Amino acid sequence: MDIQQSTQGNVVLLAAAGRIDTTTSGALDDALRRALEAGARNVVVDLSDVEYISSAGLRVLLVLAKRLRDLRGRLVLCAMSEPVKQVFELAGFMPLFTIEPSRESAAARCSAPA
Amino acid sequence: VVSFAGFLAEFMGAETALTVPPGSAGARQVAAAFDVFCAGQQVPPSVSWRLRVALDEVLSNIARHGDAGGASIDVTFRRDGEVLEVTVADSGSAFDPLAQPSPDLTSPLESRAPGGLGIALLRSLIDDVTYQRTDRNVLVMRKRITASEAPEPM
Repeated sequence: MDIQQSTQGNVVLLAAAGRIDTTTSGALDDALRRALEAGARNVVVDLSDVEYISSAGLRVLLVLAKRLRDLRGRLVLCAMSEPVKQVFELAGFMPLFTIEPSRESAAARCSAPA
Repeated sequence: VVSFAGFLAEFMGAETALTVPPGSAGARQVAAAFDVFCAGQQVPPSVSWRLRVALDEVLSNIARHGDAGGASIDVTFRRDGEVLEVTVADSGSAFDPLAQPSPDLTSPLESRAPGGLGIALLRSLIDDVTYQRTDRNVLVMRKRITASEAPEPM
């Protein structure tokens, strides 16, 4: 798995690529923790190049959602690949997250005033 | 044009077996071997990712429970016509992952606990999964390669 991080205004964007499973979810967790420690509160996670996600990856995103809610931040997931979308649907994760079709709409929604 | 090896594999079925240690090093070995198997069998990505997730769930489950699967885990990939079969056998103490309660998949964020999610996922991603206790834990997963899951045009 590969993670690219960029910043757009007050939005921190992380794009994960490859497989998010038991052997790689730790790296995603580390990247997200570092971003939050560095002050990120408006976070977009781009999942377009994710080959698949297992429950280990779902756990990381669930923890991130809870932390950002506690920090009064905002999390938007975007551009889910088909396997990611299917796993989210099967796990009942869709209603738990804000999900946008594109990176642009996600960044707009993430930075919009509440 | 169908190669003779391809014809033989389809007609006779194909099988790959490996033995790995429990834990993430073993999980990586299994994932790499499954990549090779799927490439050789031309399994469409729309089918193989489901078994990859299922394998990840099963192997992490074994690593988490009991005595971490004993000394080693035997994994077999088999293709029988249009059915892919993955068998995972470990010599840890008896543990039936399918007998664990399913989590509530409708509860709100606050009360979501990730426990049990992996096995619930596995059940819905593949067609059929069975557990058998012999002198080992034997989990057999099957997924049919259906036309609707043929590779999407790139």
